[in-house]
Amino acid sequence: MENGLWELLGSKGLLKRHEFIRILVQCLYSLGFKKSASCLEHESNILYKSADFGLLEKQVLSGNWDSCLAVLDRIFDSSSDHTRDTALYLVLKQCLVEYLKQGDISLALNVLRKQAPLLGMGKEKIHRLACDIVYTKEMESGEADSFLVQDLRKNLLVELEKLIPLPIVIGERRLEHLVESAVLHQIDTCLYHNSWDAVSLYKDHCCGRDQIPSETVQILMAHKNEVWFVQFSNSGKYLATASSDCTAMIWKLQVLDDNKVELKHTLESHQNPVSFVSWSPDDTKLLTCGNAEVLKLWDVETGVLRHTFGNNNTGFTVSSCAWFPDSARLVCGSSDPERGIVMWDTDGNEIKAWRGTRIPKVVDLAVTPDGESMITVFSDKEIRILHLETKVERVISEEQPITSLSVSSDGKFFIVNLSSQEIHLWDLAGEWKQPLKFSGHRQSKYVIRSCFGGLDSSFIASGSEDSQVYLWNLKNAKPLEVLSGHSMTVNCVSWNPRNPRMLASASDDQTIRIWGPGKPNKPEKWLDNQKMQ
Amino acid sequence: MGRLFLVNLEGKSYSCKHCKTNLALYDDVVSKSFQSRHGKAYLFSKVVNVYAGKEEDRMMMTGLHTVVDIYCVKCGSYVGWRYEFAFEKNQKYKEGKSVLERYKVWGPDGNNYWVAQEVEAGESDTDDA
Repeated sequence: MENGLWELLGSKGLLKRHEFIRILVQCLYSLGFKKSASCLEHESNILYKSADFGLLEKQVLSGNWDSCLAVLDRIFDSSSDHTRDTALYLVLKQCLVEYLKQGDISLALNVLRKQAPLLGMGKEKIHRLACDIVYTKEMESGEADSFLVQDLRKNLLVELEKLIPLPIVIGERRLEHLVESAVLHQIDTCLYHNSWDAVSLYKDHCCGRDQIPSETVQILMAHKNEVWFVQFSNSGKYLATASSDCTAMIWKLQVLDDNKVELKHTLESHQNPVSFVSWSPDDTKLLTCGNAEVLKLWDVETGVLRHTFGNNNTGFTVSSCAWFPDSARLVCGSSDPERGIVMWDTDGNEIKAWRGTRIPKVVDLAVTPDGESMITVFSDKEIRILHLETKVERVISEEQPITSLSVSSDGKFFIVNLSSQEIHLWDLAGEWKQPLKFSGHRQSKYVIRSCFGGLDSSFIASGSEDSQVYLWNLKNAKPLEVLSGHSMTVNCVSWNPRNPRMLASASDDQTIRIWGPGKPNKPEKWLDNQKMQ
Repeated sequence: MGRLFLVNLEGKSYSCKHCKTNLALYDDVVSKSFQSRHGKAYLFSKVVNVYAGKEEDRMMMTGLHTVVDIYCVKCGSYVGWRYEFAFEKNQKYKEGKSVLERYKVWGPDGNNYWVAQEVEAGESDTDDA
């Protein structure tokens, strides 16, 4: 008998008491606490197994097929025909197999001829049942021993359990599922969430500022002029910076010294400001180029210049470049209109080129991590996504000039900075009609760059002309955090791909700042965070 | 200061006199009958590669307007002004459009414009189209 059928629990009175207790009992059983479970059943007078199911179980395990069918008929009275038919089919099949094994052919025939039609089974189904029996492998083994029969009956019960409707049988691990749903929902609304550590059940989950980089940890001073570009290597162990002092620098993270960044190489060879660098996917090579500069290839380990591209074509200035996943081929876009896009190998041989009047000046260029698509931003409002295999091209026309491009690490999304002070997020698959828009930073005259970062690329960081670094959670169009520290325009940011709590920023004040986890929220800030949810 | 982002214009365009940065297209001229302190000025529907100064209310020949002075992003020289808000109804068409002083820009055919005579002090305007 079920007790307290109409009692309700919860502050809003939405939970039924007897259901709550029943799933508690199920939970105890599934965790292995049989004694506690049955104790709870006694104390509350609520059984995990409903009366109907208990009855069915007894009939099946003892082979009382007639009563079994009667119980099934009653249970399935109000449910959809499909499950009822399947259940009946399974029971009849087991029943027939047993009769035939025993040698009771007349009983078996009786089932097929009389009982099945009585239960509402169609002729076609009965024929199919008969065929099934003949071919079933259980029939091949001859005499059946009692163990085999019991096993088969237990299997039948398991199958029946899946078909029987609620509330006679409830889905397994129901309580675990409900708790996990609540936790997932809390994580969804958590704007600072940045780690995969297990969540505590003791309080509602809500991460604070200590999960994302928000305090200056280190200031790198080595460049003699404005720093225009910064990027972590794919392994997250190195950092590359480029400056208007015509050099690029490679820095190393000292793992044993709390990840302090130290200068490893200064790459000198360019005659003009360097505005862009690109790490090869295996991090052994680095490309440098500038809006008014040629493209150069360097060896990361030694800092030695390997190659200058377009040697015989001086004046082939490259605005942007990207690598293919094999770290052997690269592609670069010219900062002059009609010079086009050229694909090279690391020895300087030209593999492929796109030239001509359809190719205006390239503002920025990227290759997706799987090497299948090339995204190009053309002067100044056009984005073209070219699938290299199929040669299919997709064009997105923005309404305002685009200054930079960045692709997410999973290759599914990319962001562009517009000089109208907005960052637009597009999907590579081309399903979105409108981009997601983020704003709050300042950009009007200069090239400001942004990047994805954090756990699962759920954050965006951008530089700004007001000398601050802006961070957004993808769920919110307004900035999550604004980081102050630099004294002049922040040109570029890079989030460490292997350390979601480390961010680097490059500024006109000639320094690079490394940002790390902040102090936990002050009480007022925490309240603000709650309001945003 | 940072890497300047310059928009390139294709076709007949007006450029900054000092650094030749593209400022506006010939096709975007709305009116050629504007006057400034130094003489002729053109009204454009769109200009690029400029940044704006502080907002000011100015009394022009055609009435009170809220304007911002605009400067070339590359060399910083003053090139004209942009109408942000017009107080008179029949001047509303100017809102959002920019005026480039002919004296401060190279024309599309390389034509330059020299200050011919002293024009009266105080902001001018016109075009009562």
